[in-house]
Amino acid sequence: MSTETRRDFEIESARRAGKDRPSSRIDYSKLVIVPDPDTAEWWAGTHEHKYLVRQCAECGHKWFPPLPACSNCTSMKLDWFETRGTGIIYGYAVVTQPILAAFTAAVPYIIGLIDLDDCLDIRGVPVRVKGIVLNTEEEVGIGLPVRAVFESTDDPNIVVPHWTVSGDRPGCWRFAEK
Amino acid sequence: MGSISEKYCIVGVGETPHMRPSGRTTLSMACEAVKKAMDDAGLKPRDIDGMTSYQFSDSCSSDSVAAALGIRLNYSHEILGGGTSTEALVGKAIGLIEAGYCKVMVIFRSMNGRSGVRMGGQAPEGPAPPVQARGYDQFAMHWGATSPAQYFAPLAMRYLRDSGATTEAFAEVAVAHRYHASLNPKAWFRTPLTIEEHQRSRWIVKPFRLLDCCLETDVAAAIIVTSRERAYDLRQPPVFIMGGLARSNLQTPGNRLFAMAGVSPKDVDLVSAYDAFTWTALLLLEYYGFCGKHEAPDFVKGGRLQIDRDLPANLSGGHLSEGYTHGVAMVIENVRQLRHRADDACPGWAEGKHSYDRKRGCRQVRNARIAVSMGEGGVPGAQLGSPADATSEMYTSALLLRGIWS
Repeated sequence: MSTETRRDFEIESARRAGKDRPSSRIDYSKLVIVPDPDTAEWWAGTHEHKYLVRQCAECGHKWFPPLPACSNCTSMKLDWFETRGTGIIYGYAVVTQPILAAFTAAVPYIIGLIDLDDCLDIRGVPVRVKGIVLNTEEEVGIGLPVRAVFESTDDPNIVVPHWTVSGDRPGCWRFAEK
Repeated sequence: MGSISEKYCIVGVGETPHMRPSGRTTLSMACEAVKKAMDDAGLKPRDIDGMTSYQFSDSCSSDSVAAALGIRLNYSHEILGGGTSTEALVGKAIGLIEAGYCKVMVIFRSMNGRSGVRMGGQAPEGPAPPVQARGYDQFAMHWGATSPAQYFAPLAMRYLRDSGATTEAFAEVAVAHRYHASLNPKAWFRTPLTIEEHQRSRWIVKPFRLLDCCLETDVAAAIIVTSRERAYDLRQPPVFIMGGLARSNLQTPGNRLFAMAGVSPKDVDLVSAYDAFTWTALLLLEYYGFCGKHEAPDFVKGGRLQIDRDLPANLSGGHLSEGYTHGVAMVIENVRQLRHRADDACPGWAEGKHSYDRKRGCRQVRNARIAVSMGEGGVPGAQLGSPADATSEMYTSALLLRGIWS
């Protein structure tokens, strides 16, 4: 059974055309992301299309965003865990009114809470990350699987991960109000 | 709160009008609010010896307000903070007075929240220098979450799915708060609202519509805390502080608030629930045990938050309809209600004489004895609790207050 969505088709078409650049339509010339010593390696990972989360070198606990200590054992000896970049939509919202100028052309866009599906923390709870889901409102729903896609920006140092719906799931929940 | 429950009181409240725009400095507005709170309490500048405020580097300092009003302080301090700050600073005032640092503490918030620094930064039509995303913002702005509405909306969506509710539950909050605003001469929006009008308002970030979002204004507001002994000498009936919580994670038990004072949610006559959004008010009703988890949509159904009904909420109109004070109004209105001196259309309100006739504009709750003020805030991006629950990133502060009539 094919699980391809229109967005997959667009991304695949773009990839074959030699321009694998999913676009959020965010104007990154008006939104400057400034990595710091706690986060620079994470942003370097996105360059290689890796979606990293923090992992404790002592107890194995995982978390995101990359806060500088382990919330399970307080260790500050930290590693990175490379996820597959796949997960399930836990919650979402549809932004129809932009706040910052960088997002004027991006609306409407979907912001999603994503439970990574290969990445449990030490209690067995999925690590949750957040991102724009590059699909239309009709295509998203709570419970749907997604995978990470990476958008290059005008800043050569910054590649931004987004998400795209990667399959269907019967019984997924959609907001029905118009 | 144990042995110091009811040892401290709120004795003065005051605020500027809600303005859009003010055309004033935050210092000027803060002076007006503090002066009005002192006048309300019957206190002079020489009686005040402590002052504290909260802000996001968008306001003036306590010592500048004190200098302008001729107040000599033994204690002054600003904190960074939002919607959980007012109730938390009352707790801090109690501790400082108890420890002997000062005797009478002013708490204020002054903000040009409409014309100056707005929540979430610049409007799209405004001048647009590049915005820098640092710290937590690296992991919020890059995915398009740049305002409180955008942080909260995905969690609100999950709430709708988990509770089985529709946004009519949000509408109930907006309608109740607006009804109360219609009885408040100070409120910005005073035309009563229907569920249908709420449902027809435009989307801001689904599942929030325009009428789910608070009304940003330019305003300053202040309250004054002192000891019970001092309170009896002052102008107004004192309002006793029975208990409080300060910036507790929403996954900790909320019933601690009532345990401090040996009462229960059933003893509460009215509440103020932080209504940055309609949904945050619902979450707080659940957290403090007025209803069970995911039961707030049923609990509020059919106007039950309206005056003369089950649990009157946000009697001033709240942040949704009176105007956004960043939390101070959650305390100010409850203080006025517990004094039985809601400043409504009744000619004798200042002496506690009310008609209780809503058609004639009376908004005083009958026999108001106990009230809860519930603040709310969040730390977007910091997943401190179990991600299995929408509340793990949210915080609350509260005050359990009692009037002298009970």
